[in-house]
Amino acid sequence: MERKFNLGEQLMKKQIVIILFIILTGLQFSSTFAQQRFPKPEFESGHVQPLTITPDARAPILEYLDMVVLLASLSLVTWLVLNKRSRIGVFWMSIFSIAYFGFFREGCVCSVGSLQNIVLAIVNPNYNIPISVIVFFTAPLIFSLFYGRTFCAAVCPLGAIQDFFLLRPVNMKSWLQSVLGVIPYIYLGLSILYAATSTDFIICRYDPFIGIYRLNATFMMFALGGAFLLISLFIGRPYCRFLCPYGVLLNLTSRLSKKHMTITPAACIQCRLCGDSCPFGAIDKPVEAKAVENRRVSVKRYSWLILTLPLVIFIGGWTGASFHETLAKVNSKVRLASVILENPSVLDEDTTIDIDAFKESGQTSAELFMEAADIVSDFYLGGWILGGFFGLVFGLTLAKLTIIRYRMDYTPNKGECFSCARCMDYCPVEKDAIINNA
Amino acid sequence: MIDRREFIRKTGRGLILGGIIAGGGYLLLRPKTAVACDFDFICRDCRQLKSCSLPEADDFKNNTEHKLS
Repeated sequence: MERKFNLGEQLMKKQIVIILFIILTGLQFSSTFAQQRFPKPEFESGHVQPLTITPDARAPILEYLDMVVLLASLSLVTWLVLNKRSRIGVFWMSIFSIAYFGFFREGCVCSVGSLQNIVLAIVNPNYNIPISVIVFFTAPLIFSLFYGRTFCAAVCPLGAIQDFFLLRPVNMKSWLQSVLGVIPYIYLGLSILYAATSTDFIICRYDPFIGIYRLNATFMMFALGGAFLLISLFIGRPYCRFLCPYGVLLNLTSRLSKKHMTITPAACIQCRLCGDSCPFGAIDKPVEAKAVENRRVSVKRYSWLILTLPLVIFIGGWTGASFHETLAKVNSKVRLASVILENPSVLDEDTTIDIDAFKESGQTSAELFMEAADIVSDFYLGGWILGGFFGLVFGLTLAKLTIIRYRMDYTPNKGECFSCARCMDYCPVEKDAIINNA
Repeated sequence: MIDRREFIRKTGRGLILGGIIAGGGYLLLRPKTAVACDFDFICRDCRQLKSCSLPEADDFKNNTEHKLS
């Protein structure tokens, strides 16, 4: 029993040792980077530098291996959380995910980024995607639909690395969490818009951890990743909670989950020990019913909300459509067309790679303008949908403020809980069960 | 008597599961189009491009050879 109580400290010591190990091992790679700092020498004798031999593309059989590992990891973590109720098991699985999906597979395919491939494939029939992308996108959602966010617990390498660095969790104010919690919806909307218009995969481009896993980040991305990990020391999983667009989908499916993890294995004894145990603020505290609200008043309020929601969606859509030209400027073709339109003489100067490529393509300026106009018109429609989506999120967030859910016990918030199993270690009912079983 | 919240959850779960399976099946089973890379932004923005040996990357590199060198 004593040993069980010290589990948190033991885990922290192990984490510190492993973090030091990773940092010291990582420093060894500095010599590898140093080799590439300067261009290769040119020999006067005419010797030509041989081409660097690059590894072949991953064989299809290994793609299937990735899918098997994903499904096995999801099943194992789900079993560890729901049946074994083992935090230490979840911890070791997250180490495995960091090693396999992170450093070995270099964070690709990842479920978070696969969202963009799926969107582009749906919108554009010419874009073919392999089965592994479909499985990486759908499997975590299906698991979450039945068992909660066990994917986030220890299978996602992005979440696992942040969870690993969480040493001194600080509780955030709930209002700040709610405000920052809107950002993933915005990021989701923008990533879908840019993927659907074949503009960019912004989730992959601005992924703060991929560069770390691939050991080839630019300085800015490495600094961003480092900043996220530094914040992760005190604020639990900042990327997952306040940026991850895939988390929005998992949040929704997890709310409907059939068998979500529980803090206590039996009846809650209201000891409140688990109250502040969640570093992610994902435990709902009991709310006592003070006075039953007048039914007429509540019906009137909900009717107003229902009537107002379409208006908010429309205003959002109109606002989004108003910004469509600004949003479209991220698209390289639109940007190029606008540069040429503003200053046609740039075509005579070999200034940028884009202009050079355009001249090589043999396309005329008129054709480029037509193509750009089509893309801008796609952005107009996309702006309406994106703005409408933001309006819906805004309206529902406001509506949520007026809804009070009465509950008797401390319960995990099904949408926001990452199923990390930390809270289970705080439950005395859990400890009694362990002692009785022993 | 059926619980209202549970009914909503079950319906939502069924709809989402159906959507995921139908959507996944459609993407998996729809006829594959001929290889035509209209999505050069993926290659252009990729930091792994120089060392990538995928056919799409080779095509992209061949098309923009002089600019990459």
